[in-house]
Amino acid sequence: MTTMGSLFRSEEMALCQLFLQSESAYTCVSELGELGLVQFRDLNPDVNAFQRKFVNEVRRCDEMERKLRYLEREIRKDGIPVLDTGENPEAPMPREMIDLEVKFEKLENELKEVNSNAEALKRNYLELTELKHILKKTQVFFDEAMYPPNLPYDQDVYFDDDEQVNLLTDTSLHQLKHIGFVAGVILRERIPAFERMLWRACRGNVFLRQAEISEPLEDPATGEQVYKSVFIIFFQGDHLKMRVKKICEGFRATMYPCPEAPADRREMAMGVKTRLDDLNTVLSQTQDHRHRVLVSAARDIRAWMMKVWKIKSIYHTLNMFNLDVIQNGLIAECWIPVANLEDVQLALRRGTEKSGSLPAILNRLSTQESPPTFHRTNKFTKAFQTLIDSYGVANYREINPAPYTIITFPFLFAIMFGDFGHGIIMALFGAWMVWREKPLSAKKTDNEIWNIFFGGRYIILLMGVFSMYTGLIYNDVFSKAFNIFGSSWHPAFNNSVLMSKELTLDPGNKEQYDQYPYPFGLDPMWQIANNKINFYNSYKMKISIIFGVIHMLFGVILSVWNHRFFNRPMSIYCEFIPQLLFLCCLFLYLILLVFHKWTWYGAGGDPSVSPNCAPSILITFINMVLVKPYEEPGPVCSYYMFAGQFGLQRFLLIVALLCVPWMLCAKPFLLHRMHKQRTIMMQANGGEGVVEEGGGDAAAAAAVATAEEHDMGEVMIHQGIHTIEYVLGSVSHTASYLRLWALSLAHAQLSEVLWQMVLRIGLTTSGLAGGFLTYAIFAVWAFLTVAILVLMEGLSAFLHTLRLHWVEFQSKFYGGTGYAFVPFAFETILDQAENAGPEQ
Amino acid sequence: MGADAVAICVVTGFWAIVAIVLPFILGRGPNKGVIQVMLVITGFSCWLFWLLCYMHQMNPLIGPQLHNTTVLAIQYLWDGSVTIDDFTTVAGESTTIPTLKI
Repeated sequence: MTTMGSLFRSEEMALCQLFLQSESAYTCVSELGELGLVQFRDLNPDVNAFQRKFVNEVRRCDEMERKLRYLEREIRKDGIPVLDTGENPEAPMPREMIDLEVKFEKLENELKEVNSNAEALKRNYLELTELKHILKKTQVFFDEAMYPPNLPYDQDVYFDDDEQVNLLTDTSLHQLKHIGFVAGVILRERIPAFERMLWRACRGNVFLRQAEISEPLEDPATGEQVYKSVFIIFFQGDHLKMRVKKICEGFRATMYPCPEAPADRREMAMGVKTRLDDLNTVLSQTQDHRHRVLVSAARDIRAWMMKVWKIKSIYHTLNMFNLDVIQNGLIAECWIPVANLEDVQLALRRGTEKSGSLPAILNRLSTQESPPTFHRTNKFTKAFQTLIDSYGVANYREINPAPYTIITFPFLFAIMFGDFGHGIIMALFGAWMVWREKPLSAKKTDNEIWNIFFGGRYIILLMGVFSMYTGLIYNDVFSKAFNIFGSSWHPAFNNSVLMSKELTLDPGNKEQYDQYPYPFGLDPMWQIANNKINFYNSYKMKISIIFGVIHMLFGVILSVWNHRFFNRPMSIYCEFIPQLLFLCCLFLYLILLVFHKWTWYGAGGDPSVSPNCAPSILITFINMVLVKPYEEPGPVCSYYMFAGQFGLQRFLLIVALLCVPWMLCAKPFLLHRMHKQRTIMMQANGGEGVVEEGGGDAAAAAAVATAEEHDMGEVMIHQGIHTIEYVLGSVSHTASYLRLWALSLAHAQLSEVLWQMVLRIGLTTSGLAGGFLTYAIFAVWAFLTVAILVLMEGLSAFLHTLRLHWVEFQSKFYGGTGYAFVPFAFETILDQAENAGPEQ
Repeated sequence: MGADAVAICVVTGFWAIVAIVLPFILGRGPNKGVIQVMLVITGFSCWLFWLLCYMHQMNPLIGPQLHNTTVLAIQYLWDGSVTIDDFTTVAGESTTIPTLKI
């Protein structure tokens, strides 16, 4: 139980001092980070983060991280998959950091340049596209002006606006030369306001024609598609021209120079077309280039990220060290498990070899401080250890409840969840998660609920398997019973008796009861009986109390190992023995009464032990505690179950009551006596040394004496609390275990309701319609079974089992006020950084 | 004492092997202590659970109370003390109803 590296007790830890040479500090810390077994203490707690020694390096790492995250974002934007080879690159040397920085800088600049180029190209593309549209649409406008059509037909193709004022008539053609125009493109939604403004500002002396551009154009800044319209404004005179231009600028319409002559316009349109084609080619080449850059970066980006994180964590750790000016080195203080001192030495040697300097020195210090608690777990035991640590981390080197919890937790859960069918569902789910462990854990998701389920996959598997076993014993499969071995009850009634509606089987009748029980589990006859709740209640209450008392006794006995390890023999005599006696005299006796009643009383035999003579154990127990006087036996039945019961009960009660002052007073009294003897001895020694030290010693002895008085008060209070907690707790905790009965009953009843009210509807409908109905109703029944019975009840039973362990079991022996060992390990740091990553 | 020796021996023997014999066989490697503790606790608690169920049913103080229809079904399906010959058919309103001959 005290072997090194076992789960039963936390590991022995050593506080060590490390002397590292400046050159080798980095590599040594890197090696220790890979090893992951050393917890460094911060030797500069008062120093501001910005005044630490390696703050510049940390800043550089932050810069690199920022650049890498920018790259990552761009990669993700393009939808390029990031390759995760699962490799673990080593932390690079400090001089390689510069190479990395340069590389990242280059990549970032390249990407930024490509992006800005692409943006400029897109802007150009947009302008050219708009110009193309303008040239196309204005052609129509000018045509109209040249050859004014019959207005009704041709106009409704381009615009639907009533505010358009047609200033041009047939006769004003020759005045075209003096008419100026402005062509441009504007956002479609701004057109109504634009027109109104033009109308008001120019007092109706301008002529606006507009046409929508059918396909949306890409806005280069935001990248989103917008709808625009082409417009052309005709006016006369410079004054109006300035006004129109100002209004266009105000509405952010882009204006384009449009030649008047149709031939020029056609030439321009062709030029624009060729330029657009060229631009398209250049744009696609730019995108390709960007894609290539990102793809090549995506190959290495994971490894780079990990390297940067490692460097940063190394420098953070180095910041915790003290500078040793004399020997030009760094001093570090750390907690190391004693079993791993060799491994740490090897890692340090590797580190110093890599950097080629003097070896590092590891000194073990002795300290009064309480070391951290380290439990060495594997993937299976880790989940159970987490359950225990959630309540409180164990004190240094005290008994760890986890190895026992591995089995007691699923077992107590199964008592409350006992259904073979639901157990199968749970076990299959757990088995699937365990079987597909590796691929499922490689998928990193943010889904909190899935992570919780997956983290507890072994717990779920064990809970399911034990639930299958208890389901077989309770003989409950989705609220139906198996009849494998043949029931021990036989309703041997003849036909005339069958006319009465309810018939009760008599256990004393050899024809009706086989006189030996169903060999494995509850008899299937009870599942179809009317009074099954009666029978189940008495059974389940008894087993709840029995398992509860055994669980608590186990907890009390575990405390002996703690007392022996920490060398507290007084606690064994003053705490453990009265606790054990109290629990056994009252509650173990109760269990023995249960066993006695099971074997002694039965039907069909001696009338003094027949069922109507069987006393209630609860009443017996209550009367024992209330000190009821002796009762004479009746003509047939006796009040007592065995001879001498009255005397035995009185004796046990007295012993139990005596345990209370024993727990309360023995330890303070002994401590008081010990301190008295010690002060007497100290005063005797102090009297001899009075010549040298004068009154100081006597004063010190007096001070110690008053300190003892003060301590005595505290000890008494502490012991009083402990006693009351234990005595009252033993009663309340025993009753608390009745939740095993309560939840088991609720589960069975829910299961039965679901069957009777849901599935039975389909099963009792006859004919083909019944088949289809059953098919549909099965879906409902299955959904409700999984949602309510497996998930909700499972969660509920899990919670209650957790409470039983944390409070009823652990309060008998567990301290739980330690702090956990958190080693400097790259594994955990990388995991944390990755999980924090996507949120940024 | 209504007990069946075979059932007790088989079940007790099985869990005794789990709790007493297997820890020596399976207790290997770095997790020896944990595996042994797991086997012992499993064996003990599962055996105790079975034992409590068995002992509660050894000398029952009450018997199951059944509907007469349930009794009939059991006699027909499980015990075989009632067969199809014990029924006659009586004409009902729309179907024939099997009725027990008394």
